Amino acid sequence: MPGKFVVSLTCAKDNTDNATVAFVVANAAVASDKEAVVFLSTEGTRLSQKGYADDVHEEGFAPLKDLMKNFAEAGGKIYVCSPCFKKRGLDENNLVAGAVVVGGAKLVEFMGEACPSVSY
Amino acid sequence: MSTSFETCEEWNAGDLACGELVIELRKKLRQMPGRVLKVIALDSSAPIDLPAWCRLTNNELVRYDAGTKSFWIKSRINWS
Repeated sequence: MPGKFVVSLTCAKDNTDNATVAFVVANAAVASDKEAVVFLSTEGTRLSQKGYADDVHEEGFAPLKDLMKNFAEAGGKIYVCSPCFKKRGLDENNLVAGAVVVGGAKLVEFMGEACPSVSY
Repeated sequence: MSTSFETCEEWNAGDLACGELVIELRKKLRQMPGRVLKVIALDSSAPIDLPAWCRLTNNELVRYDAGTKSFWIKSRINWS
């Protein structure tokens, strides 16, 4: 059943529970044949940096870095909010697999007229 | 062609659930189009989630045994 799916994530180490569950659900979407995007904005943009999530491991879940790696390997994309990224002085040369820094127009284009989404 | 459930491949998913379960399941089924995988999934959500996932992805749930928490899933042919 083809289609698109967006997981919007505004948290990083300020709420590792939300960050973890967001990628668990994103993995469910991409594993279900959806063209899946995780949209990182505000604090969530910190997850775009290699190494940042290495020490995040919520009890009962796989380590966050593994969830992110699996998502990218399955074809999932990570859109990183450009102004949020710049505000935090993050490094565009240190992006995790699957991540690309985008403006809002790219997200709007991807979502089109009818795209389910869930927010964390 | 009949499928022997006794000789099919088996994967014990343990307590994996939600996205962690189905992304690993997808990896395994992609490697075996047309064949049946016996999945043992202990999480209480699996009897709801796995049939839904099979419907979403056109993989056939050919048998479910609640007693052993086992699912026999036939991998679709046309993985892209």
